[in-house]
Amino acid sequence: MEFAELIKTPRVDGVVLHRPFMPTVEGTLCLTGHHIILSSRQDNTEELWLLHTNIDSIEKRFMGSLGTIIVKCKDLRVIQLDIPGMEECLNIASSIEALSTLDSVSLMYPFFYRPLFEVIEDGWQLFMPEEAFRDLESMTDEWRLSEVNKDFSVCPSYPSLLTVPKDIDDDSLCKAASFRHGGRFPVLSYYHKKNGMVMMRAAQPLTGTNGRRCKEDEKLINATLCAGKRGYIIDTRTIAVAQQAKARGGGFEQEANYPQWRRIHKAIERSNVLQESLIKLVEACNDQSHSMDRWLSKLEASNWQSHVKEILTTACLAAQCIDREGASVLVHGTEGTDSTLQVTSLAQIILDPACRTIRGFEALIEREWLQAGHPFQQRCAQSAYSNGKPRSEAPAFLLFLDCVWQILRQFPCSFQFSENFLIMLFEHAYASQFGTFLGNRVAERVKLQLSQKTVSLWSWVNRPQELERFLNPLYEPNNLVIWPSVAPQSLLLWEGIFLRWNRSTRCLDEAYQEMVHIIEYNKELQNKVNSLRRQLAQLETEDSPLQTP
Amino acid sequence: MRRVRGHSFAALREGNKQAQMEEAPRVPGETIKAIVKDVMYICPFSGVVRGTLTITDYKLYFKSLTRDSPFVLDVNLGVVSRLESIAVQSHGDNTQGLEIDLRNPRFAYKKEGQSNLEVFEILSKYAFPLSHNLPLFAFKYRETFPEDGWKIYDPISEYKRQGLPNESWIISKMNSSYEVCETYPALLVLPSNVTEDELKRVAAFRAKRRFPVLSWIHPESQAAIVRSGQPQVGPSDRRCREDERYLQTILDANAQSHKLCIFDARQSTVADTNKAKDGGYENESFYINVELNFLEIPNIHVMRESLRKLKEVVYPAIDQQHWFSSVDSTHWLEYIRLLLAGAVRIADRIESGKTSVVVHCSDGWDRTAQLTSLAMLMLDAHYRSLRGFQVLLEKEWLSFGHRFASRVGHGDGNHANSERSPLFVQFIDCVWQMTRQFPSAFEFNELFLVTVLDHLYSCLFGTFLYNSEQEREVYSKTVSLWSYVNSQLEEFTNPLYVNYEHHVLYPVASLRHLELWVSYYVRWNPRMRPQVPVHQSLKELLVLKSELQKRVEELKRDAASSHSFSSSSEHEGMPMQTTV
Repeated sequence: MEFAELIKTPRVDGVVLHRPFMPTVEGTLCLTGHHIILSSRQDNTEELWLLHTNIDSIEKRFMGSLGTIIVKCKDLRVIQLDIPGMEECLNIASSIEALSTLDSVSLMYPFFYRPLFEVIEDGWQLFMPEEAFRDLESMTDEWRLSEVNKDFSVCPSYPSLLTVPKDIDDDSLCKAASFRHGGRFPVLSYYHKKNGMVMMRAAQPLTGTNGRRCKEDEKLINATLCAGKRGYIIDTRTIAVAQQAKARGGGFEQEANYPQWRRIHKAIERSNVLQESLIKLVEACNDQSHSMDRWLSKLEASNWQSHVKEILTTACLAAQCIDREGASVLVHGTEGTDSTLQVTSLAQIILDPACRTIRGFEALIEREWLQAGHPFQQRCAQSAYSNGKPRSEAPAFLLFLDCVWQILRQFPCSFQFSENFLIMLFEHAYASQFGTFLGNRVAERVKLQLSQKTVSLWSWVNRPQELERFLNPLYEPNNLVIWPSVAPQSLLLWEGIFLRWNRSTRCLDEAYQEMVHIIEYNKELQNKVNSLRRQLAQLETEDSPLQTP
Repeated sequence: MRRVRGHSFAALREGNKQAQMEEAPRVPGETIKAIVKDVMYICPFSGVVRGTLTITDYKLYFKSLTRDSPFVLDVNLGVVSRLESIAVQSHGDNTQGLEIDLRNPRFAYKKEGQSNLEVFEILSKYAFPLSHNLPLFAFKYRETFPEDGWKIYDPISEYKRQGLPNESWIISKMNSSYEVCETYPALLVLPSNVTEDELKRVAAFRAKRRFPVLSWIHPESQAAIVRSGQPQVGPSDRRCREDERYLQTILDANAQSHKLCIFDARQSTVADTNKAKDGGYENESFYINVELNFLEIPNIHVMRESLRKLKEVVYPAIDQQHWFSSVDSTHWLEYIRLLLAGAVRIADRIESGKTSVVVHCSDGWDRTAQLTSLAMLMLDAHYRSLRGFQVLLEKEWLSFGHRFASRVGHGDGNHANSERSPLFVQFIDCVWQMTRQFPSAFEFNELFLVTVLDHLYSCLFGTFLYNSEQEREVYSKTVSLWSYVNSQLEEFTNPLYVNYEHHVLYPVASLRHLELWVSYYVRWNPRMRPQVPVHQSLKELLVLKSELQKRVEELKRDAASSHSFSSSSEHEGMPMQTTV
């Protein structure tokens, strides 16, 4: 297919662009296969470069022959284009609609994007499972790297290399896989160096209504327990939801078959509920009506903050079991690709200071989201302005980022990265020139040959000149476990995402700049002191022969 | 432990350092009135604690018996609004309870081992000294500070800073013996060509004789903020030619605009009701070129009720499920929004419209003070500095007769008095909201705002006592809060401060951008996690910075002097050492 077929009117002059908190720009609108471009041909006026994949939905309006297209983006921005000429407007609108809803992954922009920078460190090679395993090996010898899923046949949503208990052979893994939803048998997620406890993740066991059991599955998870110790199974669903799952062949671990484990049920909501919550929240945030009373009630009614709270609470619970109780933990929900990953990745941020560095956080996202098979393509197909029938969209990753932001806000000095880093990840998960978030699982990414045909987000982000924007000037490494407060008064609405387009950030930016400035200046002075001190020492040694004639 | 931390804000902060000592720490001039052993404190968060209770003429000090890290409750009596003796069944027969209701959103419930009415009496005597014909503690407080806070505000130099007097405005001593208006300050800025006789007629026409006077003037456009009480037009639409002419003079003083804008803070329906009670508002057909706007802000009783509800929401237990909607139901943030939005309108009229404004409510000492001071804070960067903010409070609130004694009820046991209302708290909350939106525009930090509010109640300093400048004969007899603050400015300095000298700040007055001031209202909740003290580390950085700067200077000097000793040239070594 050629993009040109979809572009009926490639160019319109005299288009006026309205953006929140920015002066309007008049210029020429151009449509390309991947972008909407508006250029004013004047110096210094910023142009609009908008990826079609960033468009969530559009609205058309007409006033005589002047058409208006309201473009609602996945990053929650809303812009308005006034287009002279009814036909031009209709053409542009239908082209945008078609181009922003292309189904084929291989037509996405990352396959066409050529970087203007030199790739020094290839992000695709940065976070390999082998490397993570080498780190693990230096701490314990109880685990092995299994190739049982080499061709993705045992579990299509897992990567080819998995870390499993040393004493469990590949045959047992296959049997355990057949007992778990989607073949997602329990694998290692995190090893807590301090006390050797581990966190594993899986999908629900397929016990069904007649209580099937699987000896290999039991043996697999028991192999992670120390003698005489009990572990915790954290089921992210309520007991009622877990019970219902039995009727569809799913279920949960029966006490009788897992006597060494205590099961705890939590209540993290599933994808469609989360998507609805996001839509309601953004609606409330964008409500321009004058009365605007009941804002807090609307915020509460969206339930977004309670989802944040529930996820954080569950992550704290998992971290508590490991760090405070000295017990190993298995986390799962239904499919093990959404709420499970939210919990395991947040627990690691709480427990492991390495995850609070930029590299460590990137590694965490690779390990616990991308390689662990969170279906980004499906989940991020639409955002808060989607008006189509919801399929499997859900803001699971955004909720995770929101939770990280809450912890970051409570521990502003313990993270190497700033809020901007989280916002950037949100944007790229929904629309990007990089291939990192394409596809739903490792198997798909291999098939699409992403690592050869696209550029990794990390190749770009980790360049020193980009990284600078994402560094937290207040960062001081903190080797402790950090326990966030989940009380409702401690959790805030993430303005940087949800009110980003209806506030002017100038003053906040200035304060931030001042902070950076203070810290830079401090460093500078420290260097100066050091160099002067050295100079003085040198002078003294040179002087001394003179003084002792 | 966390509870103890909470107290560091309750009284003078140093008090806390001595918490480990055997006896209750005291400030100079404080005397112990009673020590009661074997008292039970029923903490709403962690149950019963046993210990010793000390009552002084300034505070209530409870210390548990536990040897290591004892639990300490240190409350200054100024924050007590109600004492109640209650019977408690569950703890044996011979016990008596004592219920203490604090004005601050904290609530302590105390119970003693022995029936002891005396304790109750002593407490009530020193918590409500005025009801017992005793002086407020501020008159006994004997601390000395290097700075004298009473000197912070000098009306003449403040008006001079604003460029006054000028050809249209004079600094008048007509009220020097508080005869024209007893709740106004002695020095006032008035239109230059008004006679005393005319002025008296205008005063007679305005509520509480509070005739229009200048609060602030724009250095360039000469647009002025003028404040007053409501005109007493009454049900028959009474006119006062002098008042009409007076406003015309104010209009004429500003050559940039042919209009004068009146902002009536009240709800228009209430202003109408006031008309029936001999109050009212300016009739636009009698006042030429005057535009009247109502800001629709409810009265002091509504605000008191709103804060009372808010206290119930945040203390002692917070409803986890309905946090937002319960905060919403108090309407507290909505009123904050109304105030900020009103002040933005005033500031915008002055700045963009170059039009002078008159602000009034009913008496012109509550909502008027809130609005003029907020607008001035938006317009004039000077008031955003630490000392400038003190000047703003001294001027717009204290000298212009905000009735602090009545609104707070210092030392008075009548907790149900309907004159009480947290208008000043509401104002400080608005300021806090502005500091959140403009983190580098204010020289002071959050601790400063909390400290101001703590001492609004504490009665330790003379600053907030009494209702008007005339009544306030405190200068030689008490210590000013600003003496304390200005003697340790670094505690209260915002490290991110950048003086935007000519910036006018318009905060976004939308509910989405307002937030409950959790670190003030909910600070006693043990689930408020002790946040990482970023401000502390920023402050340390600033100290480090100045130390390093000093050392650089010293080393430079040393280097220069040793350089002069040695004749050999060692210049080669220097430039290469820039990198570490």
